[in-house]
Amino acid sequence: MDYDREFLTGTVGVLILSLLSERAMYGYEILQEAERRSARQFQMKEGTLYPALHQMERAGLLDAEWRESERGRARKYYTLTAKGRRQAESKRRQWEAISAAVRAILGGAHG
Amino acid sequence: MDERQAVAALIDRLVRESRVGSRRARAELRRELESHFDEAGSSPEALRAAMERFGSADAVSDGFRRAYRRGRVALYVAKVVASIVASAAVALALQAAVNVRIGLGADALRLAPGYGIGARTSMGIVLLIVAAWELGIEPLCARLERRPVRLLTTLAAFFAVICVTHLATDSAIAPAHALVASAVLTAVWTSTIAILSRLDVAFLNRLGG
Repeated sequence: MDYDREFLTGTVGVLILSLLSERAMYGYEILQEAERRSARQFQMKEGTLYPALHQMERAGLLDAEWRESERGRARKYYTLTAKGRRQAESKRRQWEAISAAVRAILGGAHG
Repeated sequence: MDERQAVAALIDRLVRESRVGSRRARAELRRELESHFDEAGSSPEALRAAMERFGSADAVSDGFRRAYRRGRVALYVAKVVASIVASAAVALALQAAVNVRIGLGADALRLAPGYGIGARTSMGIVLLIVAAWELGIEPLCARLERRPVRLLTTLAAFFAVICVTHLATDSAIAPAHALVASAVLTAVWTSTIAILSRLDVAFLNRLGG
């Protein structure tokens, strides 16, 4: 599904922090995982992920290191720093509160 | 152009337009983007689909430019500071070279009284040229050594200003001294532009990949 760009602003950061709070991942894996968990409903333009990752790395939210896969392919893995972990928790709480409020309003409108 | 070449061209463009400041960071960005497209597959269809999913190159490079803006600003400030320091050092060395007096005894090596005013004037010229260069005021940024007419005009202008200033303050100056002082100020001007030009090239090389 194609989403309004306005809806996605700010969402990418929450998704990255949330997925990386579970384990270290590389860019392509983050995209695949987001797509898989949303049952392919969430398909962002893949290129937008990398500037976001670099921005977060420069802000001290992420650490990155190159690792080699079993097949010898080099991948840049991202992990959350302590600051990133705090940010992930804060963003998750904010997101849940906002989404609950929006659901309540939309539910009210339909009911 | 086949899909593999199209991917390579896309990566080249993204790395170039991202204007990432350090060579190492640019190499790492390139490696990461190559790794992304490697993951997507190797068949022409897979690569074509990966490029479509990747989105607009303009939007992605704009995102990278925003991500690295702080580093770029720091690099620009470092370039301007380096320009001023290097130009000022050359200017002071030129003034010292023409104002040094060799004598005997305790004052074997001393600077002439004119050194102070010469040094201050040179600093003023350095700051004026650096500001003009960064603001893009073209008439002040020409390579004088490549334009003999402009070089001579600048020399004559300095000569006139020095003579008029001395006349206005009732302090006499020999024409030969005024000519030497003008030549030094012209050399300060020329060397400052040469330094700015070289540092600009270095700065752009660092940003451009």
